[in-house]
Amino acid sequence: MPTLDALKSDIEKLLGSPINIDEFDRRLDWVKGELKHYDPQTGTLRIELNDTNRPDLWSVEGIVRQLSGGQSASNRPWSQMLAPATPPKNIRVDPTVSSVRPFIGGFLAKGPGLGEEGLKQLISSQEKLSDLFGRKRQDIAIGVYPARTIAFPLTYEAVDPDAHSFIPLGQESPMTLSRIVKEHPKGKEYGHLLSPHPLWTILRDQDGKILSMPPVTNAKQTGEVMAEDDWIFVEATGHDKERIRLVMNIMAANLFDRGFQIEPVQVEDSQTYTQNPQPTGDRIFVPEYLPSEVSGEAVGPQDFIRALLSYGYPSIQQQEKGFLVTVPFMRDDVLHPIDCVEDFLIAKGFDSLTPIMPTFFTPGRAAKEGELEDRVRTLMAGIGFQEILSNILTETDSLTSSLGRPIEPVVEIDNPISRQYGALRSTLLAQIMSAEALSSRFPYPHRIFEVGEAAEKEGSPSIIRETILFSALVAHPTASVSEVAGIIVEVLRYLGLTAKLVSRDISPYIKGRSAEIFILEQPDLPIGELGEVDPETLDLFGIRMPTSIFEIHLDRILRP
Amino acid sequence: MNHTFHPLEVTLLKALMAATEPEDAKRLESRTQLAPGQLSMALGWLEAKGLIRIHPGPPQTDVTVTDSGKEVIEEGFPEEVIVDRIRKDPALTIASLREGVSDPATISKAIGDLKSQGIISILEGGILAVTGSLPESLVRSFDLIRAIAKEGSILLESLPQDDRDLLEGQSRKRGKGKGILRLDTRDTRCFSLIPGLVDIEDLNLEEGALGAVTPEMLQNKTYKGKRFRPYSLDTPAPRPPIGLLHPYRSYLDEVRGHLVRLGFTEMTGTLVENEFWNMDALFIPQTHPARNIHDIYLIREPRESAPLDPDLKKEVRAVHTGTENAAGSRGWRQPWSEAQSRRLLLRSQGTALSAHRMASSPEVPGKYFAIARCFRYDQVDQTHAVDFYQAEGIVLEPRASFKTLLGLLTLFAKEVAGAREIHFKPAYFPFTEPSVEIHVKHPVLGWMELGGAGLFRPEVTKPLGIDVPVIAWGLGIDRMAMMSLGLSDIRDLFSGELSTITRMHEARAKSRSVFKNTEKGS
Repeated sequence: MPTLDALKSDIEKLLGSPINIDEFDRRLDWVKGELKHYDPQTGTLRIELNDTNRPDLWSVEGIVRQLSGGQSASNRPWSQMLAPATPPKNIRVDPTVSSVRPFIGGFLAKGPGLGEEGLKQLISSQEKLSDLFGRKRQDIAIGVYPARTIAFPLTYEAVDPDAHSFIPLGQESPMTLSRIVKEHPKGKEYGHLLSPHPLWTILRDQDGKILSMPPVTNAKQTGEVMAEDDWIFVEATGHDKERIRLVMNIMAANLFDRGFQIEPVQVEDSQTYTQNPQPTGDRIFVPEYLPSEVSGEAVGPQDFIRALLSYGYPSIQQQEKGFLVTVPFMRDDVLHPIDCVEDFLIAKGFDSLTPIMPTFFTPGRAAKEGELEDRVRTLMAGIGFQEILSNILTETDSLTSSLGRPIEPVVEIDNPISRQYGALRSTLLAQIMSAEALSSRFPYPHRIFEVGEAAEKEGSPSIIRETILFSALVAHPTASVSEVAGIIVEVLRYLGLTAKLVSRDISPYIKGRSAEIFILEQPDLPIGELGEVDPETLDLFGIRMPTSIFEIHLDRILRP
Repeated sequence: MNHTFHPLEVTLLKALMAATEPEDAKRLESRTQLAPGQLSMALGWLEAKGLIRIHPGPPQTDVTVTDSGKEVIEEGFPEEVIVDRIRKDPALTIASLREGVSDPATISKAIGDLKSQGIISILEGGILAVTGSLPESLVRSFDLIRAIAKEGSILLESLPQDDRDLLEGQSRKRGKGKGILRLDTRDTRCFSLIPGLVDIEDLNLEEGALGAVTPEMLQNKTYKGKRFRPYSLDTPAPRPPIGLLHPYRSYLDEVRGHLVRLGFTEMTGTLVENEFWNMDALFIPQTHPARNIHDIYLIREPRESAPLDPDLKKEVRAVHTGTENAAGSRGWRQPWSEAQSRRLLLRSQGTALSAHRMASSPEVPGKYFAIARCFRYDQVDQTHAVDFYQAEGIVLEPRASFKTLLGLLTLFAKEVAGAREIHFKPAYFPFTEPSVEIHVKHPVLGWMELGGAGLFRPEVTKPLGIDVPVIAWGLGIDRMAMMSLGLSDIRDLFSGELSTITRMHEARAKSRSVFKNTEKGS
C-alpha cells in the first residue's frame, strides 16, 4: 500500500484553507486514506492510501484534488492545462526499441518554479508511479529532467551496450552501458530489465548527447531537477501505451496543480504520431437502475449526477436509460459502471445509509471435519491434556533429519523468507516436541496435544495430499509408551472404534518401543503410530524428560 | 505466636536456624537435601507465615543462543567465513563472496568491519586479501558462543569478567532484531529466619504427630490415642496440572458458534491452492503487487495444479483481458497467462474458499463462512505471524444491496465483537465494489479495524455463474483474539510454551469474569 509523506503547510497551501488534523483524518475517507502519523513540531504527516488502483491519488496534489471535488489547486479550469507549441517538439522512436521497451511518452512543463515541497512531491510521485504502478520500473519508468539543457528533437533507440557510454548520475567519468549495469547502484537495481536484450534503450537529444538510459538512470550532464527549476521535461517508457498515457496525465495534472503549464511532446513511431498528456477522460454508460439497486434505496437521477460532480467527475449526461459518465482524465480505475456507483456512495457518505438486515432465513451448519476434531479435543482435555497450537510452516530439517525421516514427502516452499519457515509440516511431531523443550521450566508432568492441518506429497508426478493430524505427547519422570498406548486406545474407544497396535520400528522412537495403530473397523491401513522417543532425538530437541508420543491421521477415520 | 509446621517446613526451619547469614535457594537446597519444588513450597509457606525475611541477591543472567544465532553458528561467523574463504581462494572477490549466502547484507557489513580494522584489504577488481589476523577477543567470543550453543545455556556471572564483557559486547553489537545471543536477567533472592519467632523445641514436638491418613491406619486403628499434625490450609496448595483446550482455538470455536447461530454454513478447503482460485477468479490482475514473488509462498514441487476447467477458464480470461466486454466490464486490458494461473501457492486469503463455493452451485439465498488458516509473506514479528486465521464468508441473496452489507456488518460488530460504536470507511479490495471497512470502538484501545467487506464485482460473480448480488466479508479475528487473551505479541497465539498458554487461559478467565467490571481500570 502506498504511503505518502507530506507537510501540513503544503496541503493547506494547495487546499487554500487551514486544516484541523482530526477532521483532516476523517476527510481522508474520501481517498480511502488514513493518517498514520502527525508531528505537530515539524508539521509532517504520513498518509497511507489503501486504493492500489488509484495512482492519481499517490501524491499530495492528487489527494487535495480529490478532496476539492476534482478542482485543480491552481484554481484554473482543466481546459487551460495544455499550452501546445506549433510545431510540437518531437521524440523519434527508433524500431530497435520494439523488442526491448517499445513505448515512450513525454511532455514539457513551464511554471513558477517547483519550490522545495513541489520538488519533493514530484520525485515522490515519480518514484511511487515507477515502483508500485510500474512494478519496480518493469512496466513503467518515469524520468524527470531540467529542460534547459535538452535540445529537441530527441531519439529513443536501442544500442550496443558495450559501444556506448555516458556519465551517469552520481559518477565522474563516462561508463559504458554494460558497466553502468554492473557497477552503478541504479544499474545493479534495474539493469536486469535490460540485460536479457542484445541492445539497450537510450534517449538522445538533437546533438546525439545521451540524456538517459531508461529505465535505469539519467546522465549527469542533463542534471537533476532542482527546487528552483521552472522548466521541466517528463518522460515515461514502458510496454503499454495506455499506462504511459495514464502516468503522463497524472504527472501533468500534478504539475498543473502547482501552477505549471503543460506543453505536449509528440512521439513519432513508424509514421504514427501521438501526443501526451491526453486530458480527455474515458466515458462509461451507467444504467439507470444500477445506483438504486446497489444502494438498496431509490436514487433520483439528479442526486446521482450531483454526487458524482462533487466527487470530481467532469460531466454526466442523462440519457434515456441511464447516464453517460465522463471519467476524470487522470483516472483509469473505472472498469465497470459499478465503480461509478461506489464513488456516488462515497460522495454521499456511507454513514448516511441506514443498514438493513438480510431478509432470508438460512439454517447454519458447522463443517463435518470439525465435528470429529472437536470430539477428539474434548476427550483429550478431559484426560488432562493441554491443547497447543503451532504454525503450519516450519523448518524442513525439523521434519526430516531431526526425526530421521525422508525428505520426499515434505512439501517445500520455493521462495521461503527464512529457513525457519521453509516447509509445510508433514507431521506434528517436531512442533509438539519443540513445545515440550520450550516448556522445560513448567511444572511436570506435561501432557500436551495438537489437532491440525498438515500436508504431504506423494506419487510421481507428485500430488499434494492434505491431512488432519492429531498428536499427543507425555513427558514426566515415569512417562512411557504404555501410557500413550492406553490413552489412544481409550480415545478411539470413545470415538466408537476398536484399536489394534502392531509393533513396528519407526523413527524417531526407541527400537522395539513403537507401533502402528490400526482400527478393526478398517484394518488395511494404519491410522497412526506411537512410540517412546529415542534419547538421541530428545537431546536434539533439547528435551530432558522421558517422552512418549502418538500421532493419528484423523482424515483416515473421517473418510474411510 | 502459634504455628503448625509441615515436615518440609521443619527441615527448612532447622536449616535456617543453622545458617549464619542469608542464603540463596541453591545453598538451602544442598543444606536441606530438599528437591527444588519442595524447597520453594516450604519457603512459600514460611513467607506467608511471616517467619522469614527475603533479601535481594545478586542478579543472575542466563545466556542462550537465539535461533538466528544457531543459524549463524551453522553457517560460520561471517568474519571467520570471509577470512577462511579468502585464504582458500586468493582470487576471491566481494561479489563471489556475497553469492550463495543467505544474507549478503551481513557479509557486506562484515567485510566493511574487517577492512576498517585492517584485517583484510580490497585490491583492484574487488579481489580480497588477508592482511592481518582476527583479533583474539573476537576469536574468543566466537568460541564462547559455540560453547554456549553446545551447553544450551550458561550463567553469565559464572564467567571471568573478560569473557562477560565479550559476550555483552557481542549481544549489543549484533543488535536486537537479529541478535545471536539472548541474555535473560533474573533477580535472585536470599532468605533468613526472623529471630525470636520460632522455638526449636516446638519443632521437635511437631515431629511426633501423625501426618497423612493411610488405609492401613484406618484398618489397624493406629491413630487411636495419637495426635494429627494440623495442616495449614491458609498457605497456597500446589497447582494441579490441568487439561484445557487452547485459548485461541476456543476463541475461534466461539466465533464459529456465533456464525452458525446467525445462519452461516461452514466452508473448508485446502492450504495449497492455485493462483486461479486464490487470485484470478477474484479478479486480482496478474500484475497486481500482491501476486509478486515477494508476497506469496510458492510450492517447490509440484509446481502446477491440474488443468483448469475450460469453460471457467474462458470466462475468467475474458474479464481479465477485457476483450469481449465480459460481465459488462472493460477488464484489466492485460494479457492473461494460464500457466501463472495454475501455479501452486499457499492460500493467502480465505476468500479463495468463497470463490470455490460460488463455482460449485451454492444455495441461493445462502450464507457461508470459513475460519481458514492463511499464509502471510512477511518477516515474523509481534504483529505478523507466518500463518494465521481469517474468518470470512459470503451472503448470496436476491436484491441484497450495500445497505444489507452494512446491516450484516453491524450485526457482526454487535454479536461477534460486542461493539457499540461503529464507523464505516470506504475501502479498496480488487474483488469487491463498493468496498467498506468497519471500525469499532474498543473501550480501552479506541477505534480499531474489525474487518472489510463489499459486494463482489460482477467480474467475479458472472464468470462463476452467479446472478444474484453476493456480499463478501472478512473479520480480523486474530486481533480480536489477542485483545481477549491479553496478548500484545501475535506470535504468542502459536507459542508452545506452557507458561504462555497458561497466561492466556488466565487472561481469558479474567476477561469473562462476572466481577470484571468491579476491577480497577476496566
